[in-house]
Amino acid sequence: MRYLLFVTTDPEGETVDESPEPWVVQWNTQGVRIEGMQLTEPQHTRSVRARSGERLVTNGPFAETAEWIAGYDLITCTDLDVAIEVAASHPMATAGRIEIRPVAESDGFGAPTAASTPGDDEPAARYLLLLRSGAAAPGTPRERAAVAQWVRDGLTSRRLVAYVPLTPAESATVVRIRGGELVVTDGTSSAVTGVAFVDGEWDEALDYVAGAPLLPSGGAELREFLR
Amino acid sequence: MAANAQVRAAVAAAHRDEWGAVFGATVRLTGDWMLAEDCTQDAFVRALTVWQRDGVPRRPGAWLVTTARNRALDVLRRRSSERDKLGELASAQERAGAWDRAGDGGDERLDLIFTCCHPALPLSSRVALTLRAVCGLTTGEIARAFLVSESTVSQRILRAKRKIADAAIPYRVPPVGAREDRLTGVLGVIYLIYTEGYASGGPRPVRDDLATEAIRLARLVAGRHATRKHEGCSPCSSSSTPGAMPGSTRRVSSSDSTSRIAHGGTRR
Repeated sequence: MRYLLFVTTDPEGETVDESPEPWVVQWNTQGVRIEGMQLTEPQHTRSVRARSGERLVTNGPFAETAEWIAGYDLITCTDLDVAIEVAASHPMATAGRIEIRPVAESDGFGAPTAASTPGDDEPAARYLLLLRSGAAAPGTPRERAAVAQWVRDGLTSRRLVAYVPLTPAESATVVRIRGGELVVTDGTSSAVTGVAFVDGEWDEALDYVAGAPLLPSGGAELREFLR
Repeated sequence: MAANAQVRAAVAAAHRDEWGAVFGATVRLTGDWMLAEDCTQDAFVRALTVWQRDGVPRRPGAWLVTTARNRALDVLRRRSSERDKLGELASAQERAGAWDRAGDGGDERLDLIFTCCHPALPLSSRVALTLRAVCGLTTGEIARAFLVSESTVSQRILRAKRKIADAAIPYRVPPVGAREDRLTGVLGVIYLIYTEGYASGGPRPVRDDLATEAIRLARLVAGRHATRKHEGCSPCSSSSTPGAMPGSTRRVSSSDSTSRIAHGGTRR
């Protein structure tokens, strides 16, 4: 079972002066953490949405919120209890919160590998694409087929490095540590329906992202990796 | 040949006492909540005719578990005509084997309670799912007890089952260490069911059925996990019966002692 952890800021978080490095080493060593990256602040983001056939590109995040996704980690473990344990041990569970999203394995095109995040020797720009749907999650066979086609096109043109579809937002769980106590709650604040890794300069990446079939009902956010 | 009324009474009693154990054993085998529920229901239906013919078995619970699990294996075998489902069958048989080797098989109902009351599920779903899966109440019964529509209850239960499957919420009592924390959540759900038994604003001031279920659940948990937390739990105390709760002096003492669980249960 794979889970994507969204490391998220939280204005109500506690001050923590602790590097996530030991956490990364610990779970890497145990073979639980597959990969992960920190992201730059959301003002460096570009958002794409399509309204009445028009492509709309804006600087800044898809929606202005006090909380934003500061990074992600992809982990593999047996069940949700282990995922909660892993999430709770992250310093950001105290300083912010961690959202646990199960990966939709049955949709599994473009399984990500450790190469999803750019290596030091890779000059090409690479972005994390957060796909956000509107109220309705993509569910019809037609919508799924459209996504599959978009993913195949991207992989063929090598614009897309990997696509990680997530199970519906209803299966999300949020983990926080407050006052030393573990707080587990049902639900999501991010409304992310899937993530993808996109290669290229801004314009090239935006061109590809604008063709994503989810855009008419939602939007997409291109985020830069912190390097 | 057993008398009709006698068989019906035996099935009703088994439904009350064994539903959770039969469903728990079946879900452990299948890992599929929907399938387990169908097979459990099926076993009780078959009991009506088979017990009529052959007499009520010495251990009705064991008979029901075997029947439900055999039915589940049949369904899995049929499904396995698709190649990739063969693995599912193999792992189901493996799970069943491990379960049998474990001897008494643990307390299925207790595993179920901890799964149904998992903190990653919304509270309203935890309550509905516990009453459905552990106590065997129908969605109609739950809807009437909580004065909500049947479709609301179905929706809550469906959502919970989907999350258990999608997010891989484990089916077990959490290991020592995590157990104390999770017990608080379990007691919170039991307490909610209990208070709904006498505090809801329905046409009947007392709902014996809900309070009774809460007392049964509390006894079950108390029997296996005696901790200070629920020593003061009124549903566990033998002096407390649903009929004695409202309007009697005993209610004061019981709500006083249950407030301790309420405090623990709503802390997180």
